[in-house]
Amino acid sequence: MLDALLDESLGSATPPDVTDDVVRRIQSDSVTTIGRQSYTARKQRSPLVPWLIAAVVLIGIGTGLIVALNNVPDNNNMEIAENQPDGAQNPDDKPNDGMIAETQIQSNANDSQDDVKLIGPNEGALENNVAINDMEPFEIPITETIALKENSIIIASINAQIESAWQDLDLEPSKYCQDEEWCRRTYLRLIGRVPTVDELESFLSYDDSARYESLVDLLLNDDRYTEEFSRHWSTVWTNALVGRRGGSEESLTNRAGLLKFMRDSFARGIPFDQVAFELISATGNDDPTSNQYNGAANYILCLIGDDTTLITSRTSEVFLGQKLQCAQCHSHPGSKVAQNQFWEMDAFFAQTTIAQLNDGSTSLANVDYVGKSKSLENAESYFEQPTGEIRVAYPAFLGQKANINSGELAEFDRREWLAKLVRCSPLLAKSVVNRLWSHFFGFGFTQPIDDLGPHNPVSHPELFELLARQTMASEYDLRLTMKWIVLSDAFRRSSTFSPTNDFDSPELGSSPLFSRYYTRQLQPEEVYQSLQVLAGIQRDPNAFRTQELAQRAWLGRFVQNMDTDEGNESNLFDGDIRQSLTMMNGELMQKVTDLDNNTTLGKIIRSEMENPAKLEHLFLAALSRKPTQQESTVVLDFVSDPSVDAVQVFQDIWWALLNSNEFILDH
Amino acid sequence: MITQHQSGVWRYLRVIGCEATLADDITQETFLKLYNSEFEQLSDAATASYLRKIAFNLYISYQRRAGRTVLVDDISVLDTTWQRWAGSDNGDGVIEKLNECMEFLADRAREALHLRFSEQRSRKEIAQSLDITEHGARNLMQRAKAQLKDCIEGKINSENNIGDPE
Repeated sequence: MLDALLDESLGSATPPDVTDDVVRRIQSDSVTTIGRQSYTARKQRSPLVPWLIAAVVLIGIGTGLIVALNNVPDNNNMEIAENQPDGAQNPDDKPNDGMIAETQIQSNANDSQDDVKLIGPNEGALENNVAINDMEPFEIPITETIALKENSIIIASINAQIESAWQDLDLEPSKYCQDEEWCRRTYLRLIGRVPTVDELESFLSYDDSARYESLVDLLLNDDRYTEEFSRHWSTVWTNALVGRRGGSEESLTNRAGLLKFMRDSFARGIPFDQVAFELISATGNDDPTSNQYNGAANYILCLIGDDTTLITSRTSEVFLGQKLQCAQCHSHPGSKVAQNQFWEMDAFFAQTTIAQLNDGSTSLANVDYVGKSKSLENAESYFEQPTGEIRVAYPAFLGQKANINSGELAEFDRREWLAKLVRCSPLLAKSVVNRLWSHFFGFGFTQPIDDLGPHNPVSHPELFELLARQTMASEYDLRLTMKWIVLSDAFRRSSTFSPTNDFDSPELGSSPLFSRYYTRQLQPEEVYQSLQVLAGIQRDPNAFRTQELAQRAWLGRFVQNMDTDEGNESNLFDGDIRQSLTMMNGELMQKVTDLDNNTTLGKIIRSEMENPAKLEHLFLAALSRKPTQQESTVVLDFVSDPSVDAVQVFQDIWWALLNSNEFILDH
Repeated sequence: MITQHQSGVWRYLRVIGCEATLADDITQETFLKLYNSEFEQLSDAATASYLRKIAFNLYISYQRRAGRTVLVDDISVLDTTWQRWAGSDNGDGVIEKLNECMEFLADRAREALHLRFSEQRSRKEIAQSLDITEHGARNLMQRAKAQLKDCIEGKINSENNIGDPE
């Protein structure tokens, strides 16, 4: 600011007189423009009506919009967003197709004003959305109560938002998939395995109009599936939190303990914001046999090392959708994240400490932090800038500085406060929704999903806001969010291209339009669980540890730690030779293709079904579809040859089906 | 209205990073845009704020079309600061205060700023002219600007306190 003023004061750059130019341009314009009113004429109209409209529109719109260049409407068709302090002019204030500023989430018009009620101890502070309490390290935003809409209304809104993008681009979406395909993908996405033949037939036996919702409710809420649902989602979130290698031999963490915590949380329907709070603020022992056991502590135990930088970056990514990692070393040129922001977030973990106990377990705790200058009251951290300068950092949450900088636990439990702030942040809902959407469709609303911000365009901003707000309204009941997504129109679309949607190819870098179901490879855990079911291996709820170890041994062949600062891993379950060998000759595959009484193959072979029915069952079990006419003809001709062993043929067909691309693809 | 607000709009554009000649053009465009909008004059402050918003959006739009992906700081913070500094006189007062504060600077600091802003000299040339290192020239100007900022803030605060019945 001062540079511009100095330039004017000392230099030659002074304000011009543009009066004549403007008047000339207005006059010249008015000759050719039909229907334009003069300024004088407009002044004669009553000023009250537009002002009242503007005032209503502006109610609740907070100040502090973070504006990015891409977020501003084009000049040629510009609608100017206004927020005047002294009674505002407000030409239509519309976000464009880019991003929506984060501060708008609490005032977005996705929900009508009637739906929104603000509560809190100080309603007079509503304009700032904060409750002031000078004694606390932070001002926690007032809780906004949003009315939860009916499921059908939310699903209709999702469909409308998605379809609107198709219409804008004159795009014809893919046709609806077969019900068998939908059933398979629903099982895979919700409980992490393919459906059995019985489950598929049961689904198809439902009444047409209710079958979709019935199946979703069954998988989400029925006790028979609680264990599988919880296991699947504990795996998904544990992978997001600590990766597939987290909890390996060289790590302090007890992966089984973390999985158990996540599994119990999903089984008991704990709101996800509570789960996030417990993970970030956890203290306790990692060993499930210890009195001080706290499975949630394993998240931080896994990531803590010589410093807490990995915890900082992972916490920001997973719970806030903010990629701060690059800012550890330098301010991020693209995302507007300054280097100090990373270290201010890292300062929340300054009190964190670990202790290796005699029994081999590890304990996570908090202790007073005195800072480098031995000051408890002003406990600072330091970081080095690229220039070599050393800077000081105190706790600040995404730019919101703490009211106190104490390192004394009793006064300012920094990690617990971070957990509170994350829990109250609208970014938590956004990051969760983005991750869920990506889980179901293969692509989230942003690419990547954990890098939200004005620099990263959102494919469907209004839909993203709607889902985030309704997830908050549901008090983070993720089962509901899952239900909305699975029952959406987009989730029922075929993976086959329509004549006009071939450009909807996010695999090639375009923004996803969800006009078709994006085919993708199953996650190794999903293949493993599917093979387990087909092998007839019963899960023993009392042998979780043994089963988890067996799964990890199987997965361990495909996952490698990349040894990067970000703790990245590579997943080699993507056509690598190890995948091929495991799928062709691995121990589990041998079990699945065994004629044992428990296996799917064994049961089919031993049944009294005719050969065509046996073949149909094999296809349904592996691919959730019946064989085509051509496939049937080829196989049944072969089987009917008296010189071949029919059982051997079915066994080979079964093996071939499980090794086909169709089996390992979600389509 | 143009006469009354044009210097405020132009200065606002300059403080958000717009170079002078572009600021001239956007100032014109701002008033044209105002003319084409559903505008009602309520108060000078409201009009000034409205004009700043138009100018800001035009500037951002121009930058985007030029393929520049520069991000702009939080506009509400910028607005608040500018309103406090510029007051109701479109920034004339703050320029006056700046000139007064310049008198309090050390000669070398004033000279450095003069070379930089009046003669458009590079930091290297300023360093040579003052017989100091480039690093020293940078520090000298940074300190001078910090002093100026404090001085201006002090004058603004003192004016506000005088006007405050408390």
